[in-house]
Amino acid sequence: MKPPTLRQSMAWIHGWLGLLAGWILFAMFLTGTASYFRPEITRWMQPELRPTAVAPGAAAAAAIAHLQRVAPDAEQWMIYLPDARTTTTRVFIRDKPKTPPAPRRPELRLDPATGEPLHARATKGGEHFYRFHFQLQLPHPWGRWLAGLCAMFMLGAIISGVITHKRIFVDFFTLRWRKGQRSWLDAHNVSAVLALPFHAMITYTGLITLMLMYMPGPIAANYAKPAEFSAEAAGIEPERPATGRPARLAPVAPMIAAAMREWGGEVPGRVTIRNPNDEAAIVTVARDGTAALSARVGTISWSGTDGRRLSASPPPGPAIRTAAVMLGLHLGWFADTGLRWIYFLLGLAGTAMVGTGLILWTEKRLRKTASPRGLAIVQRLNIGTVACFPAGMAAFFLANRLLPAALPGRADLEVSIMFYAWFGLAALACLRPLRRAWPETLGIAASAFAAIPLVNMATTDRGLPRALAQGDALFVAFDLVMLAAAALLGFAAWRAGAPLRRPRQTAERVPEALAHAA
Amino acid sequence: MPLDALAGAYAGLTCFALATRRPRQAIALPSAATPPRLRLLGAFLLGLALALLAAQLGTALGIVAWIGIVGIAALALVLLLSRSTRAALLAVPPLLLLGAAALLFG
Repeated sequence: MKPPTLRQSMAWIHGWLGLLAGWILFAMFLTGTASYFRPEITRWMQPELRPTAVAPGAAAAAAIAHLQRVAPDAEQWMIYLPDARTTTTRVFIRDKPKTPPAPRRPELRLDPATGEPLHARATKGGEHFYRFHFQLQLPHPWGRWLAGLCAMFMLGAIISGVITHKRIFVDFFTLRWRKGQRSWLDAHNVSAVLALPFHAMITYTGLITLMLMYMPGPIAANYAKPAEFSAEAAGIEPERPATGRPARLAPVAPMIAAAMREWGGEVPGRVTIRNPNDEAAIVTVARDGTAALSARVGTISWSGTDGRRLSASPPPGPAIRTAAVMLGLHLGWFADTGLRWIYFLLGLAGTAMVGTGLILWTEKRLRKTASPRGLAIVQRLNIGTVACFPAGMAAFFLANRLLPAALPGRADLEVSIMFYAWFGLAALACLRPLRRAWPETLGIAASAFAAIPLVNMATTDRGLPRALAQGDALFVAFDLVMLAAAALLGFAAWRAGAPLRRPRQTAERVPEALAHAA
Repeated sequence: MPLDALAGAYAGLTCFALATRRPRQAIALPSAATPPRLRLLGAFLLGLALALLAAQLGTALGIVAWIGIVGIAALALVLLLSRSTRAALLAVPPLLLLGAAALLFG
């Protein structure tokens, strides 16, 4: 038997890497795509909030006034200043180590103008999709390892896919409908090849974001603690332990103003205060990080007692700069609204690439398979992923509107509902014949997405008609995207439910010799 | 969304598409529109889109944005081509007009 050619080997690798990681990659792509609008999703999920925009210095001062009341003896205050997308001040408090250790305080959201805690329905918002994207709702570090493994599989699938694709240029503009397996192959090729630079970039840079976890050896060999490397890489002042001697915290607004002057008017994104109200207090102001490709933001540190400038982070070396640009490309913080939508659409193309690949895998084996049971399992997993996962996401949004706003634990319950809906629908689909399971689950997903704008209109004062009238762009855009998703899934349900076309019967050709004899 | 660059990218890719066999069979093109000339025009339009983005966003960001915009334009073009070559071609003039308006008036 002839050994397989390079293309055949690559096709085998591509098929198996793509299949084994495909179900998780589909969910990672979809949630990652949604994460490009993480703050917008959170704002949609807290429709009660309409905070007033204020200058960064004022927002920081208001937040610090609140922190002085609720956590004056904390080890660290981290204040994320509001911007055009995240309109609230977000605060993280790290308490001093105690025995037993104090529980980690959850994120606080404050009104930028008053510094008072904002009262809105508790929700994880867009943060849920962001965290799921690289942690997969699994305990640390297993989720990140699994996500990384799938990303490595994806990289292998991209390379093997390019090698095995014989007519990559000839097929560049080819998309044929209603041709069965050929149509799925065309769709997979189109969604993969046309956005190939994006897919390759997003996969490789995604691995870079957690590279220190996947390859910890160099850091472990050269630093006693990983935190020492992080501080040196970021160029921030080394952490000093608190002296225990109280000292009044210097006003932070002048430090922010000085930082903005030094950065040519660029606004800060974050203020970190270590050992507040202690002689060893340090205030570090970090840049916004949206002005350049690099995700590594420069910082300036001041003494927290007398406001004396201590240091600024040095320009990064080539390695750190390369990693920071790669991280920036993956996160897309630099992108304005237009570019962000492009990221979003390309992410959807990636999701389509994975989904069509999963379906193509089964289509190729419908007529001939070594393991009918294995094929059946793959088909059920495909339905559970491609049709039921989006339904779970829709259920997350619906739960946000339908659960009582004051319900304790509602943030975690919203997440639970997403998983109940996803797995519950997938389990129910297993009870249905395969030909019915696809259109039914896709139809349910479409209905769920279509319901979101209606439920939003019924339960809030920011429904689509009013949002259009008031120029509430975020709520208009969100509802329109939900309707577009409903239309797409509805179309898919309709096509999946269409009767199978039987192959045309061709008339038997009478051999010429016999025809002449007659 | 940089409409001018999107229009240029779409038009450029349409030229490349019209230089391939299947779309050329679907519609009658002028005899002067030979595949080499169409590819040259397509390359020029794609280069123009890149230049516009680099001028607006800087070199690094411009290249990143160009790669993304070409991907989106290609996906839109292929979807249209799969339904109707004529529709894909007819989309070029209004897109170019929109792009020109975006460039001139911001």
